[in-house]
Amino acid sequence: MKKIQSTIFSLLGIVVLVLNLNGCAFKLPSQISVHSAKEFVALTTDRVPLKLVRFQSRTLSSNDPVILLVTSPHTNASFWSLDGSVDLPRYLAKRGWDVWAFSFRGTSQSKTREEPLFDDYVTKDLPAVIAAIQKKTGKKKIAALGHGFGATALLSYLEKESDQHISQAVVLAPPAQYLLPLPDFFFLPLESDLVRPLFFNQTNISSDVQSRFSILAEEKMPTALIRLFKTFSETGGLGLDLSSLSAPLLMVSGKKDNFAPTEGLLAIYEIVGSKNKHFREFGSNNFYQINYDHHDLVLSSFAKKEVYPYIFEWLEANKND
Amino acid sequence: MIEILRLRLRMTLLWDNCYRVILSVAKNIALLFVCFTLAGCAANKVIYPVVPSYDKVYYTTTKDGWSLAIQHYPPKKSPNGKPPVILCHGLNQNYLAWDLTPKWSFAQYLSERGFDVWSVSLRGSGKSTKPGWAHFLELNQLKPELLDRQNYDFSKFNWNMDDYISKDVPALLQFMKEKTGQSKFTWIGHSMGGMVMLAYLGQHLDRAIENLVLIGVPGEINRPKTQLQELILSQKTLVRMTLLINMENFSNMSVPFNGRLNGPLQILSYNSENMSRSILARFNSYVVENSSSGVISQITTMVEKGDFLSADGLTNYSENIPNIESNLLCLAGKLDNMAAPGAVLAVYHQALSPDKTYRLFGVANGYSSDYGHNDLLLGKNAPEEVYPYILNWLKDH
Repeated sequence: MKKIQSTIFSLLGIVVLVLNLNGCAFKLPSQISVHSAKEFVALTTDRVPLKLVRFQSRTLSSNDPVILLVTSPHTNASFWSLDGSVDLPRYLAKRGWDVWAFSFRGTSQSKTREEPLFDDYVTKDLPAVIAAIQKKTGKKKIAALGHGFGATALLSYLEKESDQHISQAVVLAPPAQYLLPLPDFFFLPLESDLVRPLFFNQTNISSDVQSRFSILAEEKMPTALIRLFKTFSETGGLGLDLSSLSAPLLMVSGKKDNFAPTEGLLAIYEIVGSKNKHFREFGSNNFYQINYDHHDLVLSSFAKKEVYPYIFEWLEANKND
Repeated sequence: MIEILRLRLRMTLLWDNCYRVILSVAKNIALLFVCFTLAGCAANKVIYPVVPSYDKVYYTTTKDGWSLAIQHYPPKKSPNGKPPVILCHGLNQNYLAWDLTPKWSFAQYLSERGFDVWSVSLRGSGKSTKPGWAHFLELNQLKPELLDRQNYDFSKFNWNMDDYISKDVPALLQFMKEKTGQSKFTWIGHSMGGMVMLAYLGQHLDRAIENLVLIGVPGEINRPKTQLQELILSQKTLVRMTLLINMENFSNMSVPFNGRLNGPLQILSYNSENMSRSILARFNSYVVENSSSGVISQITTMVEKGDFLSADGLTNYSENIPNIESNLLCLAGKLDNMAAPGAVLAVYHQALSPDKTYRLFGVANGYSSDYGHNDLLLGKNAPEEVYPYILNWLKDH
């Protein structure tokens, strides 16, 4: 009797083990990964090595326009290509763009000993990366696209440097400005579990991409961002002044986004000095399939059909300005 | 050769028959479709009845001879001594928006908690004077004596928001003062019902409105145009040419497709994920009313120019918002496409009221869902989330 029991238990144990392993295997990225692209290292002035990834079409020519993708410091460069279906760098590379992505200091791909400040991202990391790309490609000016806090850093960079090195900029949902009064969740700690669903809404993102995001792309929330978020709740925003900017600018917001709400973005957009500027809200009022949330703009399966083509067409149309 | 010809002939005949069969089937399907739609509309009214719970209807007359209806909901427990509450419906709607079912009835909700509630109908809606079939039939007869008749008032076919502001509101306030003997009131306006009071207060500096509650009320729409707004603008000429905009039949016909259709009108008026189907059916068959081209073209102008202007374009109501000094509560829905949070914030920031509050209804404030335009009154969880919020504010003021 005991023998039968023990065999049943051991069999069950094996089944559970196999199922578990299966689950892990399912979660691990198997076919596609950023590593198939070429990797470089850019050194900042204070000698922090930043990981750069280059995606290019097979028939690369020196005329290909160059674009830099800037992701939030709480994610790394893998954020852009988590799945074959949602892969903005390859989408652009296939259509003739020379695409570069990088990881900010403090992430697992660009390690540093010191705790970075938000100013380090803007005044040290971005200039170093842009200089490295300029050296590698021989281009004087490059295009830039940012998402989330990466877009906030890009906007601050544009405020400081104007368009010396940037030919055109796309900012997707930068948390930077809010119209007061702020909603309740601003007064919760950014690293708490209560806030996470608000910027990582799971309804529109496939479970595969979700698990890849948390395993591959997500980093520890840097104190710099937590501090920045606190500043928002005290002052209502960074008060960016882009009135001296003249490069073409596309500002994109998600209708459902609480992290970078449309009305706050419009406040920045209104004072942008560029003659060539566009604002696009991704939601039902522009007849899109869904009301986009913060990460939906890049990671949802709808983004490939609606957001990527819009960005690509805008980039193409404003290439030579 | 002959074989081939025969075959061809046979094929032609076959195709001819097929064609006929397809045509007749299509016709039958179309007929069935129409029948089902009509039956759906009719059945809907039986399945989802609406029984308003008001105590009595009063009528008052404006200075240009329109009769306005006011539904009274007296306090159901001992009165709480707060100013009487006036509820005003929105664009293309009637008083039933405040009193749809026992649960989704804001009028009843307040009266049960000791408030004296009066629900008004602006001209052309509810039990107030409205141009209906009677007027059209009279006109269709084309009798010369009818057209010659001096006192035949053609303006009854068309009215605009200025009429609401300068004729309806004064008549309603006068009536309320006489009826209740009070001099201070709370005005709760949804959408256009709030815009009307906003414009009235901005112009007349009337102190009769002590508390002003604005539910999804845009002050200005200054932002890059969305595709929905461009669609509205493209209908401008059509709206100007029409006399009466027949929204009632439109929305009645959409009832059988409740929740499945997501056209521009649906996107404008609610977030379909946040409306239960039984409420949506009731809303579409009872609440939606016809509107005049004057009112709609004023809204279109607002979408086009960004500011709320009078019909002749000479008065800018949006510029008068700073004159408002009543205690102010502004409610906005995160996914509202009619009054986006930014448009509601414009009122909140410009009004000089010493006591003003703004509240966004969305997941960011811990609510169950992101609210749309009509969801603020009729959303799935509005009775648990929105009504108590307004009640608590009213209790404090």
